Amino acid sequence: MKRILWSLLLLSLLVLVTSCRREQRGPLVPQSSEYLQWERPIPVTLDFPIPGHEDNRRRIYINPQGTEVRIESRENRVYWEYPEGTIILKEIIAGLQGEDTDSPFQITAMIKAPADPQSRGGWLWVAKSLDSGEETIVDWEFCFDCHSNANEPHPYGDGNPGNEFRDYVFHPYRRQ
Amino acid sequence: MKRFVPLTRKINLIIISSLVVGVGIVIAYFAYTQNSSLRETSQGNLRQQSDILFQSIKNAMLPGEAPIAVQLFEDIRLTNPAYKIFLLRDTGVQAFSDNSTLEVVNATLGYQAFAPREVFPQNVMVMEDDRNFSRSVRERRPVLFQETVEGKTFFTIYKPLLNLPKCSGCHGSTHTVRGVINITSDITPVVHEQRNNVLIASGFFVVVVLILTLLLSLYLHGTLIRPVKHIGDVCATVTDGDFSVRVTVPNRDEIGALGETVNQMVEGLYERFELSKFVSSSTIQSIRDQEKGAKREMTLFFSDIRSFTSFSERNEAEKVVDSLNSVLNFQTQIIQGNGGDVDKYVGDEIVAIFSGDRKEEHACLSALEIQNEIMHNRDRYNGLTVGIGINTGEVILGMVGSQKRADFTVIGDHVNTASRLCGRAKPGMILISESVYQRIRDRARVKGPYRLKVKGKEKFLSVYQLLAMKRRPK
Repeated sequence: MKRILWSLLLLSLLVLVTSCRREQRGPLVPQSSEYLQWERPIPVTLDFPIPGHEDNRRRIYINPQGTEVRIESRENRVYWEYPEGTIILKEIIAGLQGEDTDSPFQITAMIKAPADPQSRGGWLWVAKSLDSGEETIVDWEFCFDCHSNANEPHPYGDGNPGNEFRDYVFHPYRRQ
Repeated sequence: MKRFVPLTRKINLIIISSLVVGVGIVIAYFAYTQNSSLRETSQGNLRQQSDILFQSIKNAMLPGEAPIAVQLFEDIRLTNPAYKIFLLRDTGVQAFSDNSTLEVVNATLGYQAFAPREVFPQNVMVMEDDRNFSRSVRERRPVLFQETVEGKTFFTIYKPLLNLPKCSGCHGSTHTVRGVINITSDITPVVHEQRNNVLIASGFFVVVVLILTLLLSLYLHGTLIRPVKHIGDVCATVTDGDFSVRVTVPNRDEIGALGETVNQMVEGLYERFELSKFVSSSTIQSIRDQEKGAKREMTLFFSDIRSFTSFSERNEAEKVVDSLNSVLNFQTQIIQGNGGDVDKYVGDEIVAIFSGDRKEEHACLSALEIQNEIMHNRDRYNGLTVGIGINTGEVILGMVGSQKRADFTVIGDHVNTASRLCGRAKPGMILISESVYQRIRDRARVKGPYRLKVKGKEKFLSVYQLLAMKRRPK
């Protein structure tokens, strides 16, 4: 009888611990050996200052899923929709001046995951420090608010003069 | 050995622990969720307000209507004194307190789009050494925290106003945070409400636990503890030899069934106790030991009333039975007092057995005491006398009889010899065999030996008449 009671108690504790344990994510940002094989929506290194990245250069990559972006027109507006699993990755390189071979100090990434509770606008916004290797999911306004401007006319890239819904992407992928 | 812990204490402990844990968890959960809900509601309200302000400022700024945003803050402060609302620059200085931002905008645009202001607010707010403010600017995220100042509790939020792409046309692209919205709300009433919730829940908890403990204790006392104690008392009384008590438990449950079982057990014990008077100790012992049969050396004691047949013919049956029982009764008491065991009564004859190292001595002492009693109390026994024969030897003990009716008794040649000696003993005489004599010779006074021819024996037996015996010093 005692053994049964102890077993039940242990089982309850196990259930409690298991249910309370936060689900651990694996790494979200791919390794450079992987993303360097991807296409680049804009082939040049962006070297003008912008809020959020300030005086740092950016190189942008998109994974193969992202190249399957769907573009359709609904109610007199053009909608861009990147498929789930799309990763748009930005290498952040210190300073506005430098060589193309300079290494980044940070990676930021947009990962299309509409079902994820931490997603905003259907994207997970992730920043990875290459010094510490730590990944941070930016689930507050910061990235999202800025990228919301991509869905209306803005000062970057083609400027979205047609007020298209660009799915929060300033430099949309266009097939060559 | 484990310490005796009363059942009452154990049950009360279980009840109180269960109630404290069970009710405690429920009430603690209730109080916790209530307070969490209050706190989250307050925080949510604050976040919403900061979001509304954020959108208001953003939309007022875009068309270059900064004065509208300034007036909005002033109006909110005046309308609700419980709120402290400010828009701060990322340096911590209150926005619109001078023309510096306006000058940056004009410079970025390349022309004087906005005329410098000449009137500035009094008592300009400056945020100094506030780590939450610094964190909000550094991490570019809202920071919400609670603090207590002079007995009052406040929720404060710092929400960064980002330099969005559409803002950068006027404000430039070199910075990310344009300013920080700061709202401080006095939540002292909410904290009081939280404390009252906890106090009320605690009071409720104590009252509920006390009432439930009392009710459950009373119920369990009536249905479990009292009946169990009653059954225990009955068992204790029976152990002391009183078989008249019975369990009276009205419960129609396991306890009631236990009471009935105990009553049946007491009745059974009583019957066995009464029956044991009619069964020899050796029989009882053999039943306990589940003996089938064994050879033992024992001293056989036969005592027979002399001329009992003629006595019974001369007297009424009632007197005969009374006299017989009287003689058998005192002999039995003497035999048992000397450690002997009455094996059986055969008419007016007693068959007893003695065992142990001093069996011969005990048997002889019993015989002398019996003859002495009769000699000094002839009238009490209506002139009846007895002859006694004692012999020692190996006998067979065993359950003799049928499956329906059996006696645990002794059989064998030495039993017959003792019986023959008894048969040859005259009134008041004690005859002992050679084997008995050899064991008591240094303490006994005897006559003999006599050579005696008995039935069933071809050789003469060497026998002695026991006259007296020294008792061992105690």
